[in-house]
Amino acid sequence: MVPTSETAVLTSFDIAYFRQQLRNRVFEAVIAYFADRAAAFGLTKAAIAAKLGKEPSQITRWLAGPGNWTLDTISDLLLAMDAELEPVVMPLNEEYRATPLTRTNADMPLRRADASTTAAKSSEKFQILATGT
Amino acid sequence: MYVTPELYRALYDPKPTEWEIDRFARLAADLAVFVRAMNIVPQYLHRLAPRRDRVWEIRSLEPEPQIRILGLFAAKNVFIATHYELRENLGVFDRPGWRIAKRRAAAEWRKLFPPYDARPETDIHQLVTGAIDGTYFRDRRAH
Repeated sequence: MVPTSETAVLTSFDIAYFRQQLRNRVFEAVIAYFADRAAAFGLTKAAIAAKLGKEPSQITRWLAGPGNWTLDTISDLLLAMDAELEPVVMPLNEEYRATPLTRTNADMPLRRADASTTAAKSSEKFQILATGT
Repeated sequence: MYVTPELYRALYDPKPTEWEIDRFARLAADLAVFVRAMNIVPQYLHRLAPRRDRVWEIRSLEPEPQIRILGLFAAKNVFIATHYELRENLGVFDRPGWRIAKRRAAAEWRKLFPPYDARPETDIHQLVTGAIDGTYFRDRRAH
């Protein structure tokens, strides 16, 4: 995965992975904000569409996934929700230098197994299953 | 999330082309959403009909071709990802392409956990923390 050396060349896999991760994280932030506003104040996709002078179907497509998002898309959606992005750039956590699929659940606060289940006891990591084959 | 060795190899084994490297890296990032995102949306995680199959899909939509990760829930927040399929190869929902894919997911499950059934719930909040309200399951044939 991501080289630890300052001069090591990044792999194509890492570059693509982190591009998609950034896209997904921004999408998640916007979606979460929309869900909060919808629950608290009844914000709707139609209201966002009206503010932006677009068809509601366009907003539905935007909120369905980050595939076609540009920075302008993000700005438009946030502005229509009376919000803005507060970017914070920080050094890459050492944890992220590990293979993504082996990150521990310690950094994943929500999606944890119910600790009372048998599966939970063996789910400390996002890991590969043994098939016995 | 747990993935089968076959799926893990599909994600991380060396690929012959830059395009494949890019697509599977993005698929890996999309899978990681299940583990680390605060919220899950219906466009990302969807239960496949019929409900008796207990098979779910995670959708990796971009770039084309779309990819589907099939799997079943062992417990709340514990998704067993069995394998992937290119959406374009699955065809119309519940035609042979989909049926074979769902049967494969179920077969992988039985191979891994012979004595245990997958979680049967269709209520997303019983299976995933942080799910945004929406339609995660449609009990119909069209897809």
